[in-house]
Amino acid sequence: MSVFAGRPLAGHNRISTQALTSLARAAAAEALGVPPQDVRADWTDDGGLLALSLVTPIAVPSLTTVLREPARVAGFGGPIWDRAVAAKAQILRRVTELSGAQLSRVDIRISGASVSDGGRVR
Amino acid sequence: MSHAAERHHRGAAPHDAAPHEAAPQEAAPQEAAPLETGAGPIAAPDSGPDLRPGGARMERVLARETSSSRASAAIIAAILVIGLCGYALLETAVRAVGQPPWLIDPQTAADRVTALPAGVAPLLLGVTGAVVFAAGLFFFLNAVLPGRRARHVLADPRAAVVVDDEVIASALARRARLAANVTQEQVMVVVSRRQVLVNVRPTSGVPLREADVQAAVEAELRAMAPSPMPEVRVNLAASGVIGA
Repeated sequence: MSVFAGRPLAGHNRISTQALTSLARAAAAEALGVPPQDVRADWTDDGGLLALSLVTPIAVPSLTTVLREPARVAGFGGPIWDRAVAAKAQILRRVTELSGAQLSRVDIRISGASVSDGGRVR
Repeated sequence: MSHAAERHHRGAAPHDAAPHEAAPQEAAPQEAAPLETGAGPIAAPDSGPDLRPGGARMERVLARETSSSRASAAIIAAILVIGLCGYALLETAVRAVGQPPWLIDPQTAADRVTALPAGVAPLLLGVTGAVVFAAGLFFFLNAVLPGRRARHVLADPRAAVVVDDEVIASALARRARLAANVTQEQVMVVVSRRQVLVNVRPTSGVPLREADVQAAVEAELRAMAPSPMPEVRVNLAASGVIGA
């Protein structure tokens, strides 16, 4: 069996759906400041590319803290909407760079808020 | 997964009549040593020179291997004609010696035929017509269609090599799979006489270039050099497989 010059070795690498899902959960957890097991990730095919849809809670400061020092909102990264929008690009970049697969879109649905006052998030 | 398209695959056509026939190669061409035809009784002194590639006998052997036999249809047709003629002979002879007819008098039969729509139930007439039509179509198509088997001839300096299309398809599918870097299930190859259709379903997130697959399959096909040479068409599925 002749092998093309540009192709060093024949063989096939496969990244399973499960691995992709775990990766997406970890990336989303990292971007939104929640534990990975709270994130639900789902893959669909989008014209040959991968489309990721996430259902995840998001970490927010408690309202009393916000009332006491409004700067905490900015410390978390701004309003939830802005953070979700920013997270999309971040998750897309992270998953693409780690898995090597090309993502076409990341849909995020915020399903809840997990209040965290301890530890400065980013 | 791969399979070869079956074209004009007629019944179980026996191909036992060729005394100097090369056994059809059922193995992948790049792995199996070609079966020799130049050895043993085939290399009898009287038939020596013709069995070389390009020789008349070799051509004949290859033709027998790549097309299906019409012998069974011919035998059926011959038996039918012989039976009909024998019966007509019997009836005419019986009439000539002045005996009562066995089943039907030829004169009466001719009269009945000329008066045909009358005297027979329309349903029976229609059924008979349909049966005769089907039989006629069977014999006609058997005679007219080329009756090729799903096989290709590979060029070989010493032996006659005949390969089933399934085998070619399997080899090409393997090559396409390596070129596209996908799993076995994502490639389907259909080989027919003049065309190779490669269906590839890419992995989601890993875009494929059709030209790569096409080039790889064509290179493999060129190395194989089946005759007649089919042209390659690659079909990339629009949607991919997730996590494959």
